[in-house]
Amino acid sequence: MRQVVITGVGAIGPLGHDVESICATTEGPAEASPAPSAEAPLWPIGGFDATRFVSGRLRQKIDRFVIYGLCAAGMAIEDSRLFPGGIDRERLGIFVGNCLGGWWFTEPELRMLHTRGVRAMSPYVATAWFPAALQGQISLAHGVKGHSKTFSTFGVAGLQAIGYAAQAIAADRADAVICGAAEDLSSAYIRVITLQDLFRRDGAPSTFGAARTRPQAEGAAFLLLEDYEHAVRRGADIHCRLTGFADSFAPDEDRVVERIRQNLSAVTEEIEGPRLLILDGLFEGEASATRRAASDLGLPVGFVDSKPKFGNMFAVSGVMEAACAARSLRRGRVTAKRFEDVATAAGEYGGVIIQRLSRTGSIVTLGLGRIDPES
Amino acid sequence: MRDQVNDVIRKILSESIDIPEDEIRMDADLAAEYGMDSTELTALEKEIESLFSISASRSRRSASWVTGSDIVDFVLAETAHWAPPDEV
Repeated sequence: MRQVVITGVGAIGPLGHDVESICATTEGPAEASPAPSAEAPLWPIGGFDATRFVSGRLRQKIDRFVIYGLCAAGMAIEDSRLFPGGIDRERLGIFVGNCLGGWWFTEPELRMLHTRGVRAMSPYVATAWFPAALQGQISLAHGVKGHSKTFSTFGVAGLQAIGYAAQAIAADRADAVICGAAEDLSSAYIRVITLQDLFRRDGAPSTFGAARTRPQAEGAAFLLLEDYEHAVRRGADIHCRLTGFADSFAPDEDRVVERIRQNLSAVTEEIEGPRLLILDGLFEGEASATRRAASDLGLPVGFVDSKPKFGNMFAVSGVMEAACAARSLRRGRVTAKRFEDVATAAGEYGGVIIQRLSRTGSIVTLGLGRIDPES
Repeated sequence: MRDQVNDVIRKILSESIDIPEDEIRMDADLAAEYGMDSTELTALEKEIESLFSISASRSRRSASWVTGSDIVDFVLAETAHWAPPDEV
């Protein structure tokens, strides 16, 4: 089985307009963080200039989530130094997560439909709205022709995009994959339905216990995943390696600990020493179930909840944390403070586990480990 | 009137293809020179309909829009029956 590594990262969000500034923000003390007020239910991206990656001509045809995604994917590609000539584009894929679609573009067009008729609508509505629009635009922008997919599975979509992209590389269906997720919350319609859902769900029962209210944030994060041997051959800088991916389902509360245990077992085999586990943070019962599962396996694990710092980023959730963790692992080790201001988990970690859940019972887990400097 | 319509169409074309107004050649083939595809022309058609309150559907156009000047001619033909404001 081929080993998969991360050779590029890119991101944009309310905390910063690239991975460096997001990590600089999250490395600083809590009082220095420019993050929006924790009391605000919505954290938008402000003052972002996309012109480096998206032309004015293209901007008229696409939604904001695609703009954010093209920028984050472009940053990851630049960071990887994959182009020009670093790869056969038939062997380069695109795996994307998106839940909310392109309502910033579509909402005014639907108003137009109801007030002035179908002939007044933009011809780009169909190609701007759907979640796979970002995959298509990345393909057009970079001439990518390899194995590609889009996931639209709420808060686990981004982590699934990474995990299944890694599987595609491991199975020799691609040599590298641009993978990540993007969400835009600027449409009034999306704000209403997500906030209504958020408050309706606060305290509502789920497979993982009562749901918790968290601020919502928009943005995008992308990784360049690559076959280890391919990366070494072209002299790429490797951030870290993927140690495993597991995607399972707990049909009821009784099976939650068992399924989390199975997932953890699948992603931690190759990590030595203590691991930092980034919880999903949206459900009351997650932390205790995960502690039990880790204890059953005898795993030395520190726990953090990144939601108070990063917000609920829907499909981007998990990918943003993976981008920040990859950057840290490239330089050595990860601290809990990067993901949680008041982290109880002390020390440094040579491996990171990211866990994401869906209300209905999905459990998606990704493991990241540093590259041994001796290897 | 022609100069005014020409300026408006030049401005719309400039915004549509993201090229400065003074670099737009109104006699150039829009597809060959600026890479405009049929969907971009459809978007342009809708903007012209909105701005001039005319129907610019393909079935309405007797000649195809190859150049910017073709669009100017079409708009002028469609608005020729308009009475000047002081005659209304």
